[in-house]
Amino acid sequence: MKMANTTAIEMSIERVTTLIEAYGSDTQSWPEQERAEAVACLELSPLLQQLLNHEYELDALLQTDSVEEQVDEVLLARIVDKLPEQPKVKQNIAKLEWMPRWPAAMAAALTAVVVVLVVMNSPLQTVQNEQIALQEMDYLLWQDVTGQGSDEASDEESTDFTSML
Amino acid sequence: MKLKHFVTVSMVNLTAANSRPTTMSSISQTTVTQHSPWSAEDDPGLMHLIAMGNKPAFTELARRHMPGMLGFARRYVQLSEAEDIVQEALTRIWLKAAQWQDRGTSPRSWLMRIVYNLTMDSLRRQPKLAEQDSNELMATANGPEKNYEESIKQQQLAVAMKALPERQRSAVVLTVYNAMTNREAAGVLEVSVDALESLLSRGRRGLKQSIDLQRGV
Repeated sequence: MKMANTTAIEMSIERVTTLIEAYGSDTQSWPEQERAEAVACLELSPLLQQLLNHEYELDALLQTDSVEEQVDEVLLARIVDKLPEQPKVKQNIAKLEWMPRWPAAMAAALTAVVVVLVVMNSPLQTVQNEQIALQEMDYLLWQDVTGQGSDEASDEESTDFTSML
Repeated sequence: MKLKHFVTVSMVNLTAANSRPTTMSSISQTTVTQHSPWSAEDDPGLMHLIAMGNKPAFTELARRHMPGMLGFARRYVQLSEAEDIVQEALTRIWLKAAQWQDRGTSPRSWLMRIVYNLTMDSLRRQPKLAEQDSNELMATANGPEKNYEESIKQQQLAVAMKALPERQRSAVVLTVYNAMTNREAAGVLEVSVDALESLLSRGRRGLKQSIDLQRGV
């Protein structure tokens, strides 16, 4: 039990040494969550107190260089006056945050469908369709003019039939 | 002998030192926010209002943090440049407030990170000007009301500060003069708390060595 306590204090001494070296002699500037334990450890260790005193001179010197800055009302007014308009796009995106995220594959498939539809309805495709229709009309006219067609073929077939009988 | 006396005196002053108020920036911060109708609102609350385009909330946030922002930038660049940096940082906050999310980074840390980055950018662009200004700042600090001994000490400190690597110097400035917590300062420098403590230890050691060297110790 005694050994465990000693180990805990030794570990704390190491940590308090780090705190003193990093944050200086003002224990108020030490991390809040460690402060109470570190101060308790400090009170038990003359070595740590000596280390703390060694840092005090530097802290005192640093404090003399503190410059108290006031709020510059003129500067503040200038900044507020010159504020640009906030972007509205971001707000719209924020409003749509409830929507589920579209998977990339779904978006790609949708894009592919759109591309196919566009190609199908493109002017090139329409021209090709018109050309085919004209060719069919020409063929029908040619049949009417020449008298050739399905009737003649059926006569030939019937002729053949008769000869067979 | 002198050192021994100092140790004794400083031990007596230990309690007083620990109970002294925090840095100047935090004092002015309290004073400024006392009479504001927005003083009850915390920084994250103000950020949400700013994101909705609320200018009075923006003004309140600027009031709270402008002294610290200006104080930090002035340690590196001249006053007009520091004011431009503060204006740019606050304008960015206004435009990007909607992007801020309360995930461990306080608005103050975010603001100071912007100021830090802008200041370092400015330093890289105009290193000679910044150097000149540090001397000007030092001269301003050493007003006629200060005695000769103090003046010498401050000069030694200014020289030691300038000699520090940039990140060590910023770590010291943020924790000592801006009274930032270790997490806040680590957030500004974008390092872990352990790394910040390492920067601080090395920074303080560097300052002491430099001052001792100037004193011929």
